[in-house]
Amino acid sequence: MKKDTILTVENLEISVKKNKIIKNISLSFYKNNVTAIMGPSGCGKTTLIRALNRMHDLDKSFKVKGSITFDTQNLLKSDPILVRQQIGMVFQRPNPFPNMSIYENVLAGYILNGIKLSKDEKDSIVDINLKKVGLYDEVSDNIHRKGSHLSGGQQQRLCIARTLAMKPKVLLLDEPTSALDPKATTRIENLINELKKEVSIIMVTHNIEQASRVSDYTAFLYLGDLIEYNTTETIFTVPKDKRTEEYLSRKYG
Amino acid sequence: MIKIPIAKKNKLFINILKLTGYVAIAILVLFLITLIFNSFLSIKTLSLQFLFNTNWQPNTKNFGAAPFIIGTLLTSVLALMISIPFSLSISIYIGYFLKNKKRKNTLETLMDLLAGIPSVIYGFWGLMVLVPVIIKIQAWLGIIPYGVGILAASLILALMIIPYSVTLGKDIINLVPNDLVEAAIGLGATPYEVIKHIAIPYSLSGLFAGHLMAFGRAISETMAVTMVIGNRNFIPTSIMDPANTLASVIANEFGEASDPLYVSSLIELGLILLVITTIINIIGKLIVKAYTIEPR
Ligand SMILES: Nc1ncnc2c1ncn2[C@@H]1O[C@H](COP(=O)(O)OP(=O)(O)OP(=O)(O)O)[C@@H](O)[C@H]1O
Ligand SMILES: [Mg+2]
Repeated sequence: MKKDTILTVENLEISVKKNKIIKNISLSFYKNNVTAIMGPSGCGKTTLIRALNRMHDLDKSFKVKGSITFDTQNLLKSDPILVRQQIGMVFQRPNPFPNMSIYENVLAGYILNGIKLSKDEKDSIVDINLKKVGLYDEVSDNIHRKGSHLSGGQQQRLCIARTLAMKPKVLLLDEPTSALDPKATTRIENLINELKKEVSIIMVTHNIEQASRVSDYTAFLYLGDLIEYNTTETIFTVPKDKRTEEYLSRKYG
Repeated sequence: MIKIPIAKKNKLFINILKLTGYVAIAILVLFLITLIFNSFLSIKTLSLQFLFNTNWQPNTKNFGAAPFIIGTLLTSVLALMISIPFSLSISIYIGYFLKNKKRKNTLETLMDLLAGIPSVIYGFWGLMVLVPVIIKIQAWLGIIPYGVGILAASLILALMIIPYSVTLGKDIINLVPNDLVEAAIGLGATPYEVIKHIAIPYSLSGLFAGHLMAFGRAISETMAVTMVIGNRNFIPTSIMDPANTLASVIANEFGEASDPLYVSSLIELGLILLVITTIINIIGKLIVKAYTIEPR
């Protein structure tokens, strides 16, 4: 089957000082699919997805080489602000802004970027995105209270709503459920399944079952190399590389 | 050797801590009692009128605190206003932008050094450098070129309190959780927007506390102000006027005061100073409490 690509990574190499963390990786991410990035701790998963929305700009010790094509442009050479508005990121630890209400948190991207909206526009953005993440009924009574009162799982969904509100084309999730309990995790997994209709999702996960449940494609990284990349089904049933097989049978964590 | 059981040791330790706390409170109360006791003559003779009387004429035994209360508030508010843009920028620069450890250390040490300079040195610098400049400006503006006065005192005070606000401010800004900063950057915010919408709101109460401490210091600063304020016991009509603060008039006149009512009035000025700083501290605590963002 032929799929549209949304992001194409070519010869990506990321190093800190002399230390190569990502070693010449090339792969394409597909539109409206969920791609899981897996691999043992320290193999470079976070480093890889942070490159996709230019988060490495924050730390001058990171050097990024190669190209990442998005919308026919190399995003490594584009304006990082525009890149980040189109490629949103949700972090491992839920991090709603504690100085903002739930309502303002959903609008945070607009508030931060100084984009003026009418009251109606604001209300509708908040409603739509809280509904998308299934938070609307849970919080509609105290939408003007601080988001920090919510449970961990609710906070994480609020963070997803905040990112979705910017209408990104790609959603990056770095172990979005590792700080959550099983019930909250299931909710987020179901949500990811829903969301891929409108956004392409790239997700780092340590949880092998989670990858098999929600992802369409899986990339397996090992010590900064891309060992194997294929449909999740293929990777999980007939892995080509011994290291992938060993990882999936939990030989190393 | 006698072995003290751990539980007892703990108790002893806690009790010692408690005791030192009580001693501190006792000293404060003693201070207050001494001040009240020694200003009793003035309180009895001059009553509440003392606060509103705008004259201070020791030779006619006419004592009023109003010029000094106004002088104190004027110089310290002005000093605070002048210092805030600088202390805020320096705090943000050190606490948020400066990643280079060496440079950060250098700048922090510099701030500590500035905070540690004896105030008499600031006073000297004010007299030798600042006052001549103000004289030129005043002459150019066509007003009486006193040089010394409210403006000179406020500028020196501002300079003195900047390191104080920065010492706390930079740490407060530094405490803004990195994951909030990253979340904001991830939504496409520029550093300026992160500062404005995340870092400053997050650290508002801490920044406020830092500036309040600095304000308290400005109010009670004595030596440097005494040297550059011009020591005139009238209510200032402009910031170019010479004046006196509560602290500076005490420092300036206490040595030569012999009349009991005169001495007592000066001590009452000290009492007023203590009350003002206490009130400001309490207000500060309340505001800090109201603005503190609950931890997540
Ligand atoms: N700021 C940094 N400076 C230097 N080295 C770093 C930095 N961040 C990460 N590294 C190194 O890069 C490598 C990859 O880190 P990364 O965080 O991408 O791993 P990961 O696959 O996400 O691991 P985990 O599963 O534990 O989250 C690690 O060896 C780590 O030590
Ligand atoms: Mg990681």
